Amino acid sequence: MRISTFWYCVKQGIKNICRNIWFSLASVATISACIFLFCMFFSIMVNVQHVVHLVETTVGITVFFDEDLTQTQIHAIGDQIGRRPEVASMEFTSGDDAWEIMKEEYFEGFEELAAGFEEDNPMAGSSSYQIFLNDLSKQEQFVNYLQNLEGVRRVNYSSSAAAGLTSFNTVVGLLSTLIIGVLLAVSVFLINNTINMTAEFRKHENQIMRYIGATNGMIRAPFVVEGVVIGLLGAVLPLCFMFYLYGRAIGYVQEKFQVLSGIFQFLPLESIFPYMAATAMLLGLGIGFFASFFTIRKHLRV
Amino acid sequence: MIEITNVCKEYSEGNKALKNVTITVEDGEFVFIMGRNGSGKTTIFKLLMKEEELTSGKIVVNDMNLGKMPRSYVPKYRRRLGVVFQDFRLLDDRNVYENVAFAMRVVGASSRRIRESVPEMLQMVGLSAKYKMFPHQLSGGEQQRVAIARALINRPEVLLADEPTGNLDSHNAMEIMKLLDEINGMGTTVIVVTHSHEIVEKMHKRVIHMERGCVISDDAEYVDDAEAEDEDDYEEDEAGDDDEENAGSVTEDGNIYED
Repeated sequence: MRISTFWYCVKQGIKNICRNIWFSLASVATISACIFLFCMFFSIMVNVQHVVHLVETTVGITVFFDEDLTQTQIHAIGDQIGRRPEVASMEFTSGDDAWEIMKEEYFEGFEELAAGFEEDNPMAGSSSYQIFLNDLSKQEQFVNYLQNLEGVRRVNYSSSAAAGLTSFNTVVGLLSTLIIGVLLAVSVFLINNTINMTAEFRKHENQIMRYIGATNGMIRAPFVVEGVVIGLLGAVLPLCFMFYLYGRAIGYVQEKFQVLSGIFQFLPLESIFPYMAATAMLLGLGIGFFASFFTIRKHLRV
Repeated sequence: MIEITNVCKEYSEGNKALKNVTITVEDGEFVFIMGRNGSGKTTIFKLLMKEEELTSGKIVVNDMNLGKMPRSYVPKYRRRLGVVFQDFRLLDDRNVYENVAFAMRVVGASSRRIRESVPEMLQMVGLSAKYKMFPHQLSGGEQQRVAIARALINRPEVLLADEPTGNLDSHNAMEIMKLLDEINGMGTTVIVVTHSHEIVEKMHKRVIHMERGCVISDDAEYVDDAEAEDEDDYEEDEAGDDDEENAGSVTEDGNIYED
């Protein structure tokens, strides 16, 4: 296609939008609503995932071993655990290290009390591994595996925080998919209507084009341009809104719910916006392109 | 060359629009296809346009067999035809220049070629001075000239005109026919579908008469007969029944006589 022909098609597509301005605006509004919700859920999901990831890196599983095991045997079991794919990292704490930590935490200021245990380390049998997982949702399964290992005495872990966050993440994901799905269908339906309307307006012109020898591509191009422009506008508007809103929303939450700021660490706008913008633009482009491309098919035969 | 051989066209069960029609049109020829409503002349036009598929028979246009032509090739084929309609079919929101340029634009011509060709074509059809006007500012004859310019701008080998003078008064109709004749003189094959006896008689061209889907006469000799008739009239004709003896000729009330 020549550049002049390309610009001609773009111009005609924009003319189509202007001819049907109210239908076009309705389509843009629906796509905007759809993409705004997408952006909102995207932000929530990304932040929840970020928090879950933080929890994953701070909440570990502690494994204690039978007291009669030697250090070598404990390390052998540790190596076996370390080869598991679920394991992100692990730290070994010997009985002596555990006693040092305990002295610091519980006997600070009362060192003379701790001195009584110098010859007989009460934590001698408390060698342990602290294990951090890649994916917290697999914690239960992994704990089961650990409990069945020979030589393992006890496994300490916290299930409530991880399970809560994981299920919240899943609910947000499902809810957003559902709402976005419905809005997507409505957007496609509205674009379909808009393109049908324009096709009716342009019926005469399309017929002449057909007689002159225009290809299907040439007849279709202005409608696809129309759909794509509507889709892109529908993406740009909510993105601008999100750009403005995100920082303020985080500021508001941190100010009003200060207790949350200790638990949640929100991602800064610049780290999520490029991905959000790219996905939203692709979504808008995709809705506009496919809805117009398939709608115009039935109008091509004159 | 256009060869229509034993062509039948059936729209629905029992509704036969064409029955074994055979017509040959040489390159550079000017042919009228005449007939009343329902005679099948517009069906021939649509078949030549590849707007309808034939039921049986064969149509070959400049070595292209339309029956075997894939749909994807139809746009390319149509670029080799120019089409003019009774209702002009101009774009009301575009001026004369843009209407003609439109035909070049949709086939992907460059802007430079459009700028060169459109003024030339407008000059040829006598509308150079009105290139900025919109269709509603033009007379019927002028609108048809725009339509002809649009049909010719891509240099077609064949010009098909479906009742091109149907919406015009007799003066404008003759002007348009003269223009078509000039175009034919430049080597373009012209096929005009019409039911106007007046025009056909004045043009002295080959006339194919159709009735109920059949060719009832292909009057290649019409020119000579008509000329002879004119001469007779000039010499104060006495033999008033001579017309009726001519195959496929028409009476004043428009009835067609079958041989």
